[in-house]
This record gives sequence, C-alpha cells and structure tokens, in this order.
Amino acid sequence: MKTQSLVRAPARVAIVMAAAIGAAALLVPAPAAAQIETVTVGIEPLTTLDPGKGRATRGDLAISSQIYSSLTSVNEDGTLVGDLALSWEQTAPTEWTFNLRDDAFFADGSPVDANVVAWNLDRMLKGPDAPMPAATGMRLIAEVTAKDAKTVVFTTSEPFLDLPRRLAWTYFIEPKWAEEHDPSTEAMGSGPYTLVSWDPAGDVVLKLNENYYGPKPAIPNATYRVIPNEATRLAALRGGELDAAFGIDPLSVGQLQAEDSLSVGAIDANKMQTMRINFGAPHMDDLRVRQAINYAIDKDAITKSVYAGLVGPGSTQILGPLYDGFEANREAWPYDPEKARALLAEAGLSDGITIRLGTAETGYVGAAQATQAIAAQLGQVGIKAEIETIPYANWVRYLRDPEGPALTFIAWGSQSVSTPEILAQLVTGAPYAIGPVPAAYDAAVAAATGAADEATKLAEIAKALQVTEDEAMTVFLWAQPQTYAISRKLDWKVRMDDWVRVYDIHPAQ
Amino acid sequence: MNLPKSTMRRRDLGKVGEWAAIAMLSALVIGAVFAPFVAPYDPLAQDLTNIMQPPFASMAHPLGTDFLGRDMLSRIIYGAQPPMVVGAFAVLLALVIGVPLGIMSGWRGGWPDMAIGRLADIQMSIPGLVLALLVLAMLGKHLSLVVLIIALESWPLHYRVVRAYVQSVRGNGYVEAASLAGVGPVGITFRHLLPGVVPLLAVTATANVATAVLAEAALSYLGMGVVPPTADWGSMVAEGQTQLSGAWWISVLPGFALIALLLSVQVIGNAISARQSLGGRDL
Amino acid sequence: MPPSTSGPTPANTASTGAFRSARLPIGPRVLGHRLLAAAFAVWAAVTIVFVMITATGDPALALAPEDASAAQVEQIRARYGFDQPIPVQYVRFVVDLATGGFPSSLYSRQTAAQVVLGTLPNTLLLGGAGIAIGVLLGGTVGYLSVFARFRVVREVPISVLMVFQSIPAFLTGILLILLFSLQLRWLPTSGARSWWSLILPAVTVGLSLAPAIARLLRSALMEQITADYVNTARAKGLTRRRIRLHHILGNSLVPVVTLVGLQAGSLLSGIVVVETVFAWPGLGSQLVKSVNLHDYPVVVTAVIVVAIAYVLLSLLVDLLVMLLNPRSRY
Repeated sequence: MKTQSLVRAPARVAIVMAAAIGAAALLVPAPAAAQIETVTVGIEPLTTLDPGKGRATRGDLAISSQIYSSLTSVNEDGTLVGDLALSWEQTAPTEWTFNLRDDAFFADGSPVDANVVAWNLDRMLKGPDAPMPAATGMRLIAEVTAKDAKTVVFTTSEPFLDLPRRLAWTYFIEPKWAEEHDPSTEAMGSGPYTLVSWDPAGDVVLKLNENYYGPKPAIPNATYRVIPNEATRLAALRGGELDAAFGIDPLSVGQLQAEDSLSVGAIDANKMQTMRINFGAPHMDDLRVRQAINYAIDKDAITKSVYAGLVGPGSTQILGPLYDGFEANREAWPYDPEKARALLAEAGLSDGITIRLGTAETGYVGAAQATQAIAAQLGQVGIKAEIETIPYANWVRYLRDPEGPALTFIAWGSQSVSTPEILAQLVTGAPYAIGPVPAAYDAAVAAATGAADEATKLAEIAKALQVTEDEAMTVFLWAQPQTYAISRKLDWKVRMDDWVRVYDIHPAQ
Repeated sequence: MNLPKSTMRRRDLGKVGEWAAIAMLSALVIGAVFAPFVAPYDPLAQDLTNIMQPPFASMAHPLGTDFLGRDMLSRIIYGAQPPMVVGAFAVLLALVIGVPLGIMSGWRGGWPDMAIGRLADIQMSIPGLVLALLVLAMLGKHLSLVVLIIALESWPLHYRVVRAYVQSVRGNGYVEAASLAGVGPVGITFRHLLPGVVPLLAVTATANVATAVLAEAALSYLGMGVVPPTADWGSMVAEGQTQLSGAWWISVLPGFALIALLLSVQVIGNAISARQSLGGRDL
Repeated sequence: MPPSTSGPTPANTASTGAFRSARLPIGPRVLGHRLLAAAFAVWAAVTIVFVMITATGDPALALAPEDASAAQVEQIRARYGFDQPIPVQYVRFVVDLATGGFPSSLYSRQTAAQVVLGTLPNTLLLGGAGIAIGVLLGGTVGYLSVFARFRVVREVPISVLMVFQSIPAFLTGILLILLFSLQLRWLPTSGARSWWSLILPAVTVGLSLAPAIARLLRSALMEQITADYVNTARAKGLTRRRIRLHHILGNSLVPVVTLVGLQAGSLLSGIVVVETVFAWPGLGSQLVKSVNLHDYPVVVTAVIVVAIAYVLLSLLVDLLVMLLNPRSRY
C-alpha cells in the first residue's frame, strides 16, 4: 500500500501543482498599468467658472476646458483638432461653416447643438455684459447663426483665417440653465469631467463624466489645488500632497531634482518673455534708445544663472515655435554694451537716463530675479532702471495705464496659438500697446489678420516680424521655461502651451 | 536659594556678557555707519557667474553670495542701516512725544492728564503690526510712515514712566520751593525733573530700540517696509526663504545678524536696569 | 486697553488660595467700568480705520474693482455715502459695519466678512495652541528655575529661553523650518493640511510668549517662598510639594494671566507674522495677502476683527484676574 502511494504521490503532487498553476494563471490578470484613482495638480489662483470671463489657461480655463465643450481644440503639438465640431470649412471669404456632432449632451440631457453655440457667442459679443473678457480676438466676428441643429455659420467682417483656432478656447454653457444659475460659481457641462466642487482659494474637484462623447480620460478623479505661496508649493510636491505643478521658479528646480518621486525639469514654453516698451514714456520714442536697451542685456549670463540654464537666449521675435510664421533661423539680439553706450551718446544721452521698469509679483517664471539682473545690466550702460513690483491681481489695470513705466516684463502668449492674434496685442490701440506704433507694423498685422489665404497671411507675418526687429519694438529676451515637477507615477507629456489638463494624463507604465 | 559662590561666578559671567554685548553692538553700529569703507563690495553689485556660493567657499566672498551673485557680507553690513535708522528715529520721535506729555500729565493732572491718558489708551486698541499694515496699505509703503507708526505705538511707554516719576516728585520739598521761588515750569523741568527722569528713560529707550528694530524687520519681512533690492535684514530673510533647503545662508545669515543686534540691546538694557534700583532682577 | 491696575504683585493675593466667595463674583461697578473701557477701545479702532480710509483721498476708488467703469465707481460712492460730508460718512460707516453691509472682497466671490470670518477659526486654533505651549513651556522652565534640585536644571533652561526673547518670531519660524522640516523631515514646512502642520507654527508662537512667562513666574515664585502664609503652612506640617502646588503656584496664576493680557498685542502681531512664515491660512496671512492685493474691503474688515479680538482678549484676561484675585473685584 505504502509503496503504491509513494510511487503515485509525486504524480499526484505534480497534477495538483499543475492544476494550481493553471488556475492561478487564469486568475492573475495580464500585467496592466497601475490604476490611479485621483491626481492632485497645482494651479494658478482662480477667479471664475464662467467661460465667458475666464482667460488664464493655467487657471480658470484649465477648469472650464475640462467640464465644457468647445468647437475645436489645440492638442499638445499645437495642431488644431475638432471637439464639438466634426469638420469645418471656409465656405466663403467671410464665412466659416462648422458641422457639429450630434451625441454631445449637457448633464441635464440638453443637446449641445448649433443653437447653443450661437446663443453663447451672442452672449459674449452682444449680450448685456458684452463684450465679455473672454471675447478678445473676436473683433472680426459679425454674426453667428444656427443653420440647423448640426450646422453653425460664422460671418466675419473680413476674412478671418484663424477663426477655428480662435474658437479653440471658447466654451459653451447651457442657455436655460444659465437663466437660473450663476455661471461664475456653478457649472453644468458636457466635457470629459464634471465639477464636484469649486473653491477659488482652495480645491476644485472633478469627476469623470460617464456620458462624455469622446474617449474617456484615464484618471477618473482630479483635484486642482491653488497654492500661491512658492515655498508651500515646493513642500507640497516633496510631501506627495501635489502630484504635479508647473511654473516652478528655476532656482528651485535643483532642489526638487533630488526627489526620487518626481520627474523635474523644463522645456521651452511657447511663450517669449520680453519687456514691453511704452512708446509714450520719456525717451522710448527714440529708436536708438530702444536699440541700446536691447544691446545692453546679457541674455546668456541671465539665462545661465537666474534661469539655471533651463532656457537659452531667445531670437528677435515674440513668437514661440508652435506659431505659424515662426522663423527658426532668426538669431538673438547681440550683447554689446559698448554699442549701447555709443547709441545713447548719439542720442545725446551720454549723461544717462532714468526709466521705470515694471514687473508682476507672480505669474511669469523667474521674473523677479531677472528684472533685478536686467536693471543692473542697464545700469552699466548709463540707464538707471527703477523697479516697480505689482501684485498679479492688479496687473491688468497696470498694463493698460498710459502713464505706465517705460519697460514692463511680460510674456506674450495667445490662448489660440494664433499668430495674428498675438501680433495684434502690439498694434495701435490694442489694450496692451501704449504710445505710437510704427504704421508699417499696424498695416502688416491688419493684412495678416484679414488675409484671404495662408500664403498671404504668412507673408504679412514675416513683414510684421521684420518691423518689430527693425524698429526694436520690444526688448527681446528668452523663452519662458516651462518648469514642471510631475510625480513619477504619472505619464504626462509636458505641453509647450499652458494648458493644464488632467485629460492629458495617463498612469505611468 | 542664594549660594554665594554661584552668584559671584554668575556676576563675573554677567560682566563678560555685558562687555561682549557692548562690543557687538558697537561693531554693528560702526559697520552700518561706515559701511562704504567697511564692506568689500557694493551691496547691489551682481555677479551672475557666481550665484549662490556657500559661505567659506572662497575668500572673495567669505559669507557667500545670493541668487544674483551679490556678496552676502556686504549686504549684511549695509542691511543694518534701515533697521538702525528706523529704530533710532522712531525712538527719538517717541521720546519727543512721550516725555513732554508725561511731564505735563504728571505735573498738571486733571483734565489734560485724563485726555492724554485716553489718547495713550487708544494706541492699545489695535496691535502695532496690524495698525502698520492698515496705514501702509492705505497710504503707501513709505519708510517715514513706518517710523511714525512705530513712534506712535511706543510713546505711551515713555509717557507712563515719566508721568509716574513726575507725580512722585511733585510734592518734593525742593521742587515746591523752586516753584514758590518763581522758577518757571521750564526751569523746573530742566533742573529738577529731567535729571531724575533720564536714567528711567535709558531703560525704556533701550527697550524701545529693540521693539522698533523688531517692528522694522517684521514689516520688511512682510514686504511692507524696505523693498528689494535695497539691502535690509528683514527683506533679505524673506527673499531667501524659498532657498532654505539649498542656499540657506541667504536667509539665515541676515537672521543671525538681527539676533545679534537684538540680543546685545537686550543684555545692555538688562544691565542698565539692574544698575538702577528698580527692583528688576537680571538673570 | 491696559489691564487691571492691581498688577502682577503676588504679595497682595489672598492668603487662603480660595478663589471664589459666596457673593457675586464681580462687583457691578467694576464690571461696568471694564465693559465701558472695552467699548471705548473698539470705537477707537473703528475710528482709526475710518480715518485711514478717508486718508486715501478717494475711498470709492479704493473699494472699487480694478476694471470698474467711472459709473460703477460713482455707484459705490453713492451706496456708501462717500459723497457726503465726513461726519455723515462716519456714521454710515459705523452702521454699515454693524449690519455687515460692507462691500465684497475685490478678489474672491465672497463678502469681506465671509472671507475674514472663514479664516478666523484657523487663527484661533493657532493662537490657542500657541498660548498653551507658551504657558506650559514658560511655566515649566520658570518653576524649574526655582524649585529644581540640580543647579544645571535651575540655570540652563531659563538662560536658553531668555535668548529667545531676542529672536523675532519670523526668524524662530524659519530656523524651525530649516531644522525640523528640511533637515530632519519630521514635519511639514507650511500649510494646514494636517494636525502635524500645527506643531511648528504653534511652537513658534509659544516661544515668543514663554520667556516673559518664565521670567515672571520665577520672580513671582521667589517672592512667594518667603511669604508668611507659607511659613504658616509649613508650621502646620504640610508637605513641601503640597505647599508649592496649592498655594504658591495657585497664587502665581494671577500675574501669569495678567501677563498674557499685557502681551496680547504683541501676541496678535506675532501670529500675523507666524501665519505668513508658515503660510498658515488664518486671519493674519489673509490680512497680509489682502494688503498686497489692495483688497481694501478685506483689509478693513480684518483689521476691525483683530481689534475686537484684542479688546475681547484683554477684557477676558481682566475678568479672569478679577475672578482669581478677590481683592480686585470691587
């Protein structure tokens, strides 16, 4: 008996083991990406949920863009893709037609159709609060009509080639809902996420929208957290309280790189930091003075030190690489303090001048230290710069003040990544342009905005860029570093623009 | 509780401490007054090739450099100027307000005394820093306002001490005699009152210097006093706070300088008050 | 307002250590006087704030949002009566404050009152914890400096604590962050996410209060030791410890409480700074933030709330002292 069982035992054991392994193999799932339930992302201070008012891509619009729908959208490479719109076409020089999908619905079941689009545009352009703050760059839109439930027609006063791009950051609320709710503090949307709670000074919580018409996001829950204090933000990243944050001071990047849990670094943002020139300020109407200022700044030294080498000197254009008409072979304005002094002497100012230099307290990465370095360099050539620091909340009014300082540190961007739109910020009469602007520039930009075809548009853009260099219309500096700190458990391709969308995140493999 | 030996030893230690404090304070004041001669560099001179050097790393910058390559030693020497200037002027102003009012209150009594007393009490309805924030927010960040606010918060201290003293000597024989002999109030003040009051004011003034310097440093730390790039200990501490885990010296060294100043003032103040028979116990 | 004039002299405290009598705890005349003084202080604070607002030249412009049109500014001017003569403005200001009709914060969705009152609990928490730590630490060190058996324990802790009297609160905070958060990684550097984040700010506040308490308690205790009643108690045969705890410590309570009242002003100022150092979301950091943003409605409301808190704290301390000290009640 025993011998029998002894002989059979190994076989029995083998069979049982094989069965166990087989069963286990069936039960163990194939290796899958770790499931991430929620992420917490740092964000700029928030002011409103109303897509008619919000303009900050790293702030209010980041939220709006995920709970609402827009006609089109800009993806990470800067290419325009459709969101609500399945296709669009310039059906006449001054007319664009968009064909909409029919499976987009708000949370209460109302369709997001052409009537909704038309109503929203009317609200922004012609309603009682018009023109609403988020209606910039829509000057050329004359009429928006819903031909039928799935077709919207835009009529423009001049050819508006970039209209589809411009509409990439226009979001739609539900008309009937808006009558009973305050869109600034409440939301009912149609986008990939729904709003769970909103606190402009604290957290904004988002949850997956089960009825979304597009591909489902990989992360089902998200919290956006406002932490204005830099030290606290760094601590939150280190402690794991924040999974990601952008816009970190370059000098702090080194500290964070020591953290194993974070992937930290920078890419060039699609934004150029420059100093806007107030042509109406004393001395700024003299081309030689403007050129002297450009020659006086040692961009190499500043980017290597204050920006920790994360960016290099920028070329003589205010466009970032993703913009149409960006010229890759443009060079940086040379550093030549001797030439700067010579130019000033030529202008009869060898005794030196004093100018005001304005900067925002927060909002532009590295600005605080950079302006101090710039002021010192200007001092070397006889330009005494007095720095004024303004809280970001007062920034808008400050920028438009005709009595504003000669130089203002600013980063130029356009939410639509549209070149005519960004160039238009410097034409005569634009909200951020002060003083007389060279006529050639105005003409080129107007022609580019109303161009009938791409070739003309690009040609006019090239003209405008050349004028900005010839006339030293701004102080060219460098690309804003897109500094980031992202938890290694996330796979998030850092964008060159400022969109901070949880929609773009996937769990790391 | 009093073991003679330990007390004697403590007294010696105390003496050494006093001299050390005087030496430290003198060094800081002389450094501040003669800054252009003492400091190796211009406090605003940047050197972008040498940012965030640690202390003792090179002889060129013994205390290191900050995030713009500015020499820390020079900035610390110059950084003493705003707190000392503000402190000195604020205390002076507080004395100018408090002493005459104290003499008048103590001498006259009655209505003026009550009114001034109420005025002094009003001071105490809003804490000093908060009042400073309010005023600077509304009227702008002017250093002269900072001096004024600190003085307005401090004068009751001197006022009360002077008032109490004048009240206590008012009935003194020689004072009455002088008054009867026709010596005017000014004469009485200078000849009889002030000499007695000066030692008391030495104590309150030193305490006031400490609180004034502290107030200026706190306001500059909050961004409401001296603003960058001017070298000032309080604002330097604020500027360096995000670099604490790396370039800690940008915040910590000006902090130590501030502590050194306040500590030496405190020790000297204790020594002065111990010498007066005010019953204050030194440690 | 200055606290009760029967100040920190332990010698005049009761001999039996009994804190209450069978009659009314506090005489109505004295109580009434204190309440009146408190009301006067609040009125003074409100008036100072009003003077500051009008001193800006154009209050309506200051209270209007950044991008307000001229018409909107006019609206604000009419609504709050800034176009009226000053005395009328003043009355309206006081009435508006009392009824909570002040303008909204310029940068948040809420009214100024909501913003301020929302941050108040955090400040009370920090203040309470800070005072507790300060009293405990200062009390312990002060007690030890008198009664400890070994000389080292008597002399060293209090000397170390005295050094902290010269260290400004923001420096203490920064040094604590450097040591405990960044080097040792034991505690968070800032914010208020968990109870752990309360520790460093509260210790910082406590360290600003502890030296004065230690010093005061030490001198109070040393005077008590030679007091008559102690000898009486000793004669009665009570143990040393009982004497210490019951009578001496109990009777030293009054000066300590009075000191907290005297320090209330610098305590509140200290809390404003500590909240900023640690980004603790309380009234103090909100005030500083609003000052930087030029959010005047919030600044004004915050200052008034702080003034009221200050007055209430002083009043509370006075009443507490009166309860503890029978002689000062009537």
